[in-house]
Amino acid sequence: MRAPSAAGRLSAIGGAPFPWVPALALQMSLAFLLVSQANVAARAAQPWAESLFWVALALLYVPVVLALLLGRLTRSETVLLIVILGMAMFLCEMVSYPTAAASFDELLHTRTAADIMESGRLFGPNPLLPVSPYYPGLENVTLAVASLSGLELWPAGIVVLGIARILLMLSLFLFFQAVSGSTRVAGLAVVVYAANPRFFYFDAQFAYESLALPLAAFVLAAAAAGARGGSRRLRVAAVLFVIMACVVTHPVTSMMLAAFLLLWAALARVAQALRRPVARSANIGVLAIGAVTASVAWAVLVAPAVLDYIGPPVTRAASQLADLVTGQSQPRTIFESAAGEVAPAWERLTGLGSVAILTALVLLGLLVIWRRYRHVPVAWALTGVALVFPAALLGRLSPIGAEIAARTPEFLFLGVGFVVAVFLARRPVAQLRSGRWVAVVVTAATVVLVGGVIVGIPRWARLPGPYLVSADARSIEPNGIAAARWAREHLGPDQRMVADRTNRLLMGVYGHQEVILANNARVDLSLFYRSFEFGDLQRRLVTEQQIRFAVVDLRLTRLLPTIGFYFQKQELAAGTPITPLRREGFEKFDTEPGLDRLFDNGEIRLYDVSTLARDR
Amino acid sequence: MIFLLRVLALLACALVVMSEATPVLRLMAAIPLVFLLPGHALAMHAIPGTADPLMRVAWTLGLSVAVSVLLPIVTTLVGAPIDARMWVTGLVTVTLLAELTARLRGLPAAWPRPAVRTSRRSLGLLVLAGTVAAGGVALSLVNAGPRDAPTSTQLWMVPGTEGELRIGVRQFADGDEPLTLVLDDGSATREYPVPVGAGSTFELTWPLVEGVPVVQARLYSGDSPTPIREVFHRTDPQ
Repeated sequence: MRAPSAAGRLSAIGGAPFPWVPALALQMSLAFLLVSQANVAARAAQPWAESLFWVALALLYVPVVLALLLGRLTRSETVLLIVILGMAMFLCEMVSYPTAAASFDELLHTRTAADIMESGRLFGPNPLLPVSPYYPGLENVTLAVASLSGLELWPAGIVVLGIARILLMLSLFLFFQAVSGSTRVAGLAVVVYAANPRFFYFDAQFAYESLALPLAAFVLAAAAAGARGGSRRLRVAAVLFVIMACVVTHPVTSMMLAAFLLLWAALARVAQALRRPVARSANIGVLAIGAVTASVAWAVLVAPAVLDYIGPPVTRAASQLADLVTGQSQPRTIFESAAGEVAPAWERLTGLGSVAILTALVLLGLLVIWRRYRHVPVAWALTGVALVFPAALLGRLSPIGAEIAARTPEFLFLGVGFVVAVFLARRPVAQLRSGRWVAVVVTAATVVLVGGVIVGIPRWARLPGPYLVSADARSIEPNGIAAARWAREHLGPDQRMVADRTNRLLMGVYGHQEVILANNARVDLSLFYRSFEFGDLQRRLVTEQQIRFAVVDLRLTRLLPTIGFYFQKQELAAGTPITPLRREGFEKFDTEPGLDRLFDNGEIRLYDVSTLARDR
Repeated sequence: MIFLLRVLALLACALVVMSEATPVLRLMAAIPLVFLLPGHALAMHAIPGTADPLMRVAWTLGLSVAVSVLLPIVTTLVGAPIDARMWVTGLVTVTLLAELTARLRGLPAAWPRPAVRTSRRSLGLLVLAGTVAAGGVALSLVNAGPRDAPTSTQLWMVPGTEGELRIGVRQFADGDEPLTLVLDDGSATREYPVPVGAGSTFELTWPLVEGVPVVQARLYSGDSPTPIREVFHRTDPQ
């Protein structure tokens, strides 16, 4: 460790070194203040809100990259800087909707947490996301804070996510440092990781991955870093304990962790077989077997629902990719939303630029990896992960492949961050301190971060704003919440109910209703609502699903669905809707004999449709 | 001595979270109880000789979070409910057991203290940065407003338990015009002025008369002939 830093000595003011990191912290907080102001402006539908958002985001991120690349920071300065960056980016997401859970996934997990809190029991059913109750890690820790402090679930969740973010940044740094042996590489690898499209929004949400990732990162850090003294067995047992916590928190993260540990262990064996001098690390093989066993055992014994959750998307992706390769289907148009909205030219260019820069840096980094880290099996494993990044881009050409590719950056950037950092850090600091290099770094860092956000988050979801139909957080508004609360108060909880995507969420969370999850072909909610009369198909649905109530939201007849569908994804197969729902489809609820309209708030109506079942 | 201080801190945190103190004060005690003390005690076993403060912080946080993730699983296995008492008992037990066994194993009671040198100027800038960030959060909180602030008036009609209909109007915002509720079952029509006021609820019951095919409730605003809300109950045709 060097203290005070050389950069600090160079810029001494009044005899004392200038405190670069605290100054950068202040600069980042000011940038965060601008992000907050951009959110305020977006709520008022100000057209300049998005421009301010991008500028603020660049001001938040780029100086950190510059400081890590061009400054001579000590280890503690580097860690302080990346932890503050991580927290600042977390707060940027939080201020979009600061008062309550708003995004789709946050509401799904709020239901699970509320159920555990009310019942005092785990594994109760969650009709909105059946797999969630079997992976209650985030909810458990949130309940610990809520129960012990008396806070509501939402602020308790913010506390948990904030601490999880600190753990993530710290663990990533320790992992990369243990692998590379360099503070500079580790710091740079973490900031590159922070530019992944999921880091800014998704992994800061109240959703299970936001806690599972820090736990997985901790496992990697603990596995890679050596420790002096103590019992090796106890250390391995402690890491296995955290692996188990990760398994109980999120299925995909724990499977990715198990896969990575397996790859690492296998490469270590290969290196040993080749009699290469291999860096000594913890019992990776034991940890890998532990992670695989725990993941599989939990899935099979406790959470078999996870197979229905993970299996079908993977199968569909493979099938669509096969169709693409054999020419049986056309490639998906990238930068075009499901609703048919095409991103502006500058966004497309920046998004492609971001991917191109990262891909180029990964390829350039391969040579440096070979020169400096060919005796480090975990570095090979990280390089392998980095090379999946450009391959995953091809997946974006099919709809389901795009969905899966969109869910992997948080894992792939572990490798991308490392390889890119190794390449960037190969030159000494002094060689980079020229105006030309600074301009290149500022431009590239801005493009990578902004492009990552563009690729990862659709335009309408980046900032809050006026109400939109089928637009996740933009569709959650107080009158819909009040209608759901009315349902719980006057109809009672756990009533079988159908609704569009947004009201299904609200009725499930705030109304605690047993909403019908329309994620399979057997339940065609779209036809239930679109048809102009209650025919055999609609009556059969009511009978088979034992539906008691139906929610009708008149706004669906005036506005197009932002994500391309009103009720369920299967609607996308019929193409993007070009007109809103026909009003006649909703009027049948008023004209059908025997149906009662129980509730009306001007936009949302609730009907008792149970008589449709008896009429059959 | 340090061992004793940690145990006392643990018990103090447990007492505060079980008290009737304000949520903020209890949160101050809950954070070390959930995120620091269990992990610190367990990490003493796992990495007793590690001098790196960053590594110790990571182990402390990681193991603490893991304890809170897994504690309810164990609780469920033994059939106990997950509540505040469970959390206090579980976290204190895990921490105390780990502390005591570390003492029995003769592990060092404390890690070496890291040398932290911070100038006043650095501290001042960090405090200023924290204040600005808090300002950003406050700005957003004030502007976003509460989620529980609906504006649309609700009208409902649900069957009661004794063959009657329960009809209600709930207003969330002050309207400019007076509201009138009109009930009609084909044989009788009644008008009710709805008391105006944000947050007010107006409720009444309506008897269900045999042979009446439909009961309608309409809500009118001012003199407008078009109802702003409408609900109805139809007698089951079967």
